Amino acid sequence: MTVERQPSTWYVVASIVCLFVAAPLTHVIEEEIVGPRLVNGTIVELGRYTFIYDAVEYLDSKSEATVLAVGSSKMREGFDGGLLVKESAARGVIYANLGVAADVPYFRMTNIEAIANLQPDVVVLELGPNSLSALESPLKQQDIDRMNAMLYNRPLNLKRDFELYLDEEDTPLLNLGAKGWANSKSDMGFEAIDDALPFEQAGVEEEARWDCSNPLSNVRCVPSVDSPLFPAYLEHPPQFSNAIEYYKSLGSDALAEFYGAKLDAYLATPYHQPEGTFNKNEHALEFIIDELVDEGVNVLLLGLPYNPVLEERLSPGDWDYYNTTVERFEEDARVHMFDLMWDPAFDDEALFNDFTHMSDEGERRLMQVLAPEIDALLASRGVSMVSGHTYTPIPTHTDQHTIYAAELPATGTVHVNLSNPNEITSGYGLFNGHTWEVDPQSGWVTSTPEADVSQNGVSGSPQIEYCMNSTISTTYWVWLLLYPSGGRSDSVYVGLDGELLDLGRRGVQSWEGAQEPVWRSVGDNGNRIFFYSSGEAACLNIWVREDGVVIRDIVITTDEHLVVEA
Amino acid sequence: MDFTTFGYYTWFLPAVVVAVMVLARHRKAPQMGLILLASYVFFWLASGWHVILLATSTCADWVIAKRIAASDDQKTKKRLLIATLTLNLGLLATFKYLDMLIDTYGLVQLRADFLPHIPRAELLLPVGISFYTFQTMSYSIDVYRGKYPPYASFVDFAAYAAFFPQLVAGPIVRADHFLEQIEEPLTMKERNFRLALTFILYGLVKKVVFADNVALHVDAVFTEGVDLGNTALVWWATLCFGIQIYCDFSAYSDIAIGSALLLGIRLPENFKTPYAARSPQDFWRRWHISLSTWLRDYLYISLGGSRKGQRRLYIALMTTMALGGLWHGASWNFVLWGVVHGLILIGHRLLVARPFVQEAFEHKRLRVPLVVTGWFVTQVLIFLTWLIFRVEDTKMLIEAISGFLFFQGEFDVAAAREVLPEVQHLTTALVVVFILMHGISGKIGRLRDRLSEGSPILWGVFAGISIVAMLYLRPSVSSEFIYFRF
Repeated sequence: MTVERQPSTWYVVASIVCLFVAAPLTHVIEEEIVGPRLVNGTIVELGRYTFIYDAVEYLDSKSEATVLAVGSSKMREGFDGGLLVKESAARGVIYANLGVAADVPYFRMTNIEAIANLQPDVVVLELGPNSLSALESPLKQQDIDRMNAMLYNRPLNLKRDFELYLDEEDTPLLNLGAKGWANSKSDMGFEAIDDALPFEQAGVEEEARWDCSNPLSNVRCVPSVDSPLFPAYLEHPPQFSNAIEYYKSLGSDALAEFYGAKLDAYLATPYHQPEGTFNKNEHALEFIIDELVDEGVNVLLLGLPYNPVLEERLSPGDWDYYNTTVERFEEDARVHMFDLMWDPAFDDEALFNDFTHMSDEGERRLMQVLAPEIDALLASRGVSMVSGHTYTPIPTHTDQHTIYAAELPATGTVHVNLSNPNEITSGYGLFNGHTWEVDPQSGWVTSTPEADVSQNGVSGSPQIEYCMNSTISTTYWVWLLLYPSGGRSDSVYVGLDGELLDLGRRGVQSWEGAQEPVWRSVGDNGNRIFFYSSGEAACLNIWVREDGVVIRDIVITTDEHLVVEA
Repeated sequence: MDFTTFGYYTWFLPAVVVAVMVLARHRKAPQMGLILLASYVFFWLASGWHVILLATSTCADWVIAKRIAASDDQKTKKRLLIATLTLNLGLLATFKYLDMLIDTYGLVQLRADFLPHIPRAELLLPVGISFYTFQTMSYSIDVYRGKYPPYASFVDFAAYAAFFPQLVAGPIVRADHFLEQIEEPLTMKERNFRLALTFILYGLVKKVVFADNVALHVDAVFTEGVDLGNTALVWWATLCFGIQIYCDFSAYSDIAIGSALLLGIRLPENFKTPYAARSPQDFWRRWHISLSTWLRDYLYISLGGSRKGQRRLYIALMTTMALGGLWHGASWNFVLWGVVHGLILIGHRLLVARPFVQEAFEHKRLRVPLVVTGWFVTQVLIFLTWLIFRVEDTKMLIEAISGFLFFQGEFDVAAAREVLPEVQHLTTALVVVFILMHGISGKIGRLRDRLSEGSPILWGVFAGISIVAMLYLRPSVSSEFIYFRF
């Protein structure tokens, strides 16, 4: 050995060998051990977080116009690139779904630079109550894990402008900078290698664990970027199963619980509530928009619809901040705001798999609605369009309810027909899973079960809605024929278009000293039940206050002095 | 700052090495000045205002050692020595042992409530105080004994006392050993550079990959004391702790030695594959060598050592081990740990003095089984004493020892796995690798030297694997060096 004579040679050889050992070893660990476990969720729950850079790598190699959908699982479950290809007039466009479960703008900041650098033609960016929700400082561990997962495969030349928008308390927890890069490797490698060891020992073919070709694959399963399955996955990832159908199959009690306690709990989490202040999520959203706009990307801000049952369950004012934000963005020249949250075209429970995620039918509807909007943006960028293309007509709320519960007269009285409840209320999904039950013969609507349960306020209360068509502007006086089925005091709250009418703390009573039907035109405070129609359709809402109450009839009249009697 | 701090490798150490070896090349005084400055900066970053204590101890020993050397009067010399010992041990007693003494007094006070209550002082333990006070004390004692004259330069002495690679957690360096190496300007020998890199890399892997990983298992068992009646769990956690404490402490020594080598100074080795020891005596020749030799030279021998008969020897041995235990920390556990080691050493001495044992070793056929048995019994005892070292709570300690000795009759591997962290395969693999490597190292010896002197291909493979291991096998929760708190 001539070490002393040729020290430089020794170091050169040692360095080269070191490199030749470390590089393939790193490659094997990354590609064979860590990578698959990242995308299948072994290390980070909902492993799709780390797939973003794979998608960027894949799309970077394409020359076609690109439309990217960026958002949470709602976007992931709602955006179907394959359907868009069919619905759209544009040709030669790649549609990619980059939605990631539980994603909010603050988390998304880390990889938006890579997405912006692709310079896609359009980014469909989700805006929802979750985008405006409160985030703890410092973030919860699972959120830190999500962000760190997003940072794992980041390119080394990442600009890291997003760090300016990070909360001071979050910054030290995130894998930023060179040290963060190293931390990131150990965070992921540590668990991945531990997971890999027994498989090596047992000689099990690991690949079988994340075979994404199986249609029943776990939704977390992300094929490798080199896999032939990847383009299809990018266009439309595997979807959640239909929870509503599942609960329906279990029976009315299960569905009632799903739309009862489960929905209440779902809504109670801060993730689904806009905080109501310009918080770090909104700072991040502004940053994301700026990053995209700076790269010349058209940003379509999409307010995705939610299950109408959920929307109905909201207390007055709950999501006002969302509406205010939508209005703000409607005035914002940087983006094209497209809000479908309250759109009647989505007032159908069948369009959803659960409270928020769209069903196959919902996806179709969403793509039908979205196609013209995206096409308009693509056309403005010179993307070629098929001439004479006809978009699928969208069924609207009005179309669905051509049969109203009543046509309100200019003068006179109308008897609301309760005998055909499905037609009266279809499209709202307000019966299913609720404790209002309809007698198919009589049309009487009963609040069941009778368990002597009452509540003050309409939040979470079962609701029934009768929509009536009107062509003139006038005041209508309402009479309700109520029956206390349990022989005790039962009552309802009454409202119009979702707004509670001022009829006193105890609403409208059905009890008048005996167990017999009673016509009511006033509330507990003596106020008359009336509403003013501005010449459009109006929906009368009736919420259960005390269960057991039965609605036998509804009369609506323009005659203030009419007395309706049995 | 410590040796697991990123900045130590990215700016601190390179800056000091460049400053000392390039900017102040061939000029000893500036080199020592820079080392002194760097050492105080390092200490300031590690322990803040406690740097004043270091400076106090340094100045006091500098002045007193000079006066001891200058005085012809033996009584004056002794008074001066007592003064410096009082100062150094006083610093130790105040900052390290005061609360322990107050707590012990509190136990007495519980039974004698007429005694006044004394609140705990809650002083923050200055980093490395046990190490630098022992160094400066040994200097004054050696000057008193006339072993060598005092340092001529204050900067040299202050640099010795504060030398940053070993300041915080050793090895404890003797003043003459340091002085020998700084007589001439510090130079970087190419061979030493390679050896330094090897030491640092070796140390980092031991700390980051081995010690920190097994520490997760140790903490899961001994922090809350879960299921200590399960022998399988206690054995595993004890094995892990033995690996943790060795890898942790020897890693610090390795990095210290490597860092010092980059500055042209060779520090003594502190460990020689201690788990290959075949007897308790052999263990102490291999474990924390700089402390055990310090205790031997300045305590055991001062107490009479083996020169004044068997009884005195045992007293000296027991006192040395008990105080050596106490040196590790302000807890009676450490004293107990030292006492148990003392008993083991005495027991071993008594055993090997027996004629039948000596005769048995003379039989060729019996030698190997005896050596293997010696190794096995020694290691079981060593690992048993680690329980005393690790488990501070008395009730938990009794449970753990009972579990270790299979008194509960429970050996449930599945239940043990429930208690341990999720990452188990990797930790098991690391334990197996450690045992193999330790065995090979014990058999071959001087692995690091061989590696750095050998083929660049072998070194490259070692470096490549080490870097990848540190990158991917480092747990997200990193532990502080255990000996930092001593």
